[in-house]
Amino acid sequence: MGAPFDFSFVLSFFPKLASTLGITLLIVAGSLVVGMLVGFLIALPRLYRIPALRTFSQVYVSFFRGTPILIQLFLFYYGLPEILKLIGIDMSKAPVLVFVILTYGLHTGAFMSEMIRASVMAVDRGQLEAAYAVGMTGRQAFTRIVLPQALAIAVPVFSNLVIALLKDTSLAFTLGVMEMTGKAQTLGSVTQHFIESYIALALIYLVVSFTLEKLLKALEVRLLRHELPDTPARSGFRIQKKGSYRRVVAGIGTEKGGAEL
Amino acid sequence: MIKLTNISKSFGRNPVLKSIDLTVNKGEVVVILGPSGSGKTTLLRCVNYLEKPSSGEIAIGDFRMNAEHASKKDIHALRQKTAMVFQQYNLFKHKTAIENVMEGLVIVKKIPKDEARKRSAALLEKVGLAGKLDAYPSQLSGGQQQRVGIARALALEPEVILFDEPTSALDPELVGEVLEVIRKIAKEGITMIVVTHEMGFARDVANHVVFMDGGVIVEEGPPAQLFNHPREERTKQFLKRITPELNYSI
Repeated sequence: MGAPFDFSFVLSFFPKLASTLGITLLIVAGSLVVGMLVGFLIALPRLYRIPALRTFSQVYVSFFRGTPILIQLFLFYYGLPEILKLIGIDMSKAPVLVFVILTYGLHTGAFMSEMIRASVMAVDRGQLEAAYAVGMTGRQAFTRIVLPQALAIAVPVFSNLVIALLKDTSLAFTLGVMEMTGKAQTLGSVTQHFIESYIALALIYLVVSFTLEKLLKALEVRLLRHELPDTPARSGFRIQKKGSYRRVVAGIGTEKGGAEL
Repeated sequence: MIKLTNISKSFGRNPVLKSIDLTVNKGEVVVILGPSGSGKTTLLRCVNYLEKPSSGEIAIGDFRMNAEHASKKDIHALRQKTAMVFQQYNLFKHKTAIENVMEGLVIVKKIPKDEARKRSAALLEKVGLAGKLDAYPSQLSGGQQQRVGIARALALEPEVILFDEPTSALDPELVGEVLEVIRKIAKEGITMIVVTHEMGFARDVANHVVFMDGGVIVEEGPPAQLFNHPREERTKQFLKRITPELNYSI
């Protein structure tokens, strides 16, 4: 397949691919904004146990988690204009990027809602009680006390979602969006140096994911500054005194060895 | 004056409080004793509506509310008149000691930050934590955390401070420092309702002791009377079990 391997092509492809990095990052950023909004809207009915909406949220999450993103892209790109046509909205002139960001946004939103729900529920109930006892309203208690702590808990999961999203955007080329992966294919076809093109592509993805990971790690450290590095919470196991009984809390981390918390 | 009238509470079909009446006069320290499951903590939590009573009336000073049909406004007003010190301290984990004390002043009482900081620093000094203003709860011992909790409650200048087993989660050697602080503020005439198992403390500090069992008030009275001459058989049994030293006078 194609011309013999020539490393110089890898180097020459870097700037060409990097020029489309903007589109990739635009998709990531746009989807994150949509995803956060949708995530909150979907998480709230489940957090507050609102009967009918809660079921809708569950169905929503099941759909977006249970079907491949590629199928979702096709469904929205080809299906949505047809549905909107029925109510008299013409989407034929809308840029593809709109569909792409919408689909990735809705997709990420499903995962975000689970992240938000889990993080809010992970905040100790005593924190909320203390906030009420101090005289705060429900809203003050949520924004001042629960949310900041939930955010700190959510960051590691958020970090995973962002990196997964970055990699998932490589499928946007199937709808003809000229983001990095699309560009890499084109470069490969034109020069017949496919391998070199994909090596360069993989390296760029790697560098971007690595950078994002480090940035979010820094954010996590900042948000968790109240949990000090020398507190027992960082060791794998700790004995926590709770009223009249003691319990062992296991620290489970994503890193090898499971001790990072 | 705080007046609870006819307070009842059930968890599902299980009645925990059965029509409790309790009056606490201004400046009084009321200690509630009782075996676990007697409903004493639930009663305390009903006073600031962390637990919703099934029926009854709560009155603090001129303010009174029907506990069964409470509006959000009533609950909010009630909570502004009370403060609570928790068994598990429940300090805001992401805030430093002084921020914990300031939070209610700035957010609820709308006091300017500088003023709130000054007052909070003074209160932390009062509870013996002048050097720990900027420490996070995770950097403090249990006793220190609980003293921050007390400062946080004091800052709100409530009509009553509710103490929910304030020393039960502490290591034995840290109990003393917390009790000392509570004793000190009791002397200043702050109204308090204290649920505790510290008999010595109850005897010394309380003006009025309430013994609860099975969701009812079995007996109440001044500490000298309740501890030395309990009338009810159930009270005698409880005191005998919890203060065995009374049986071995040297």
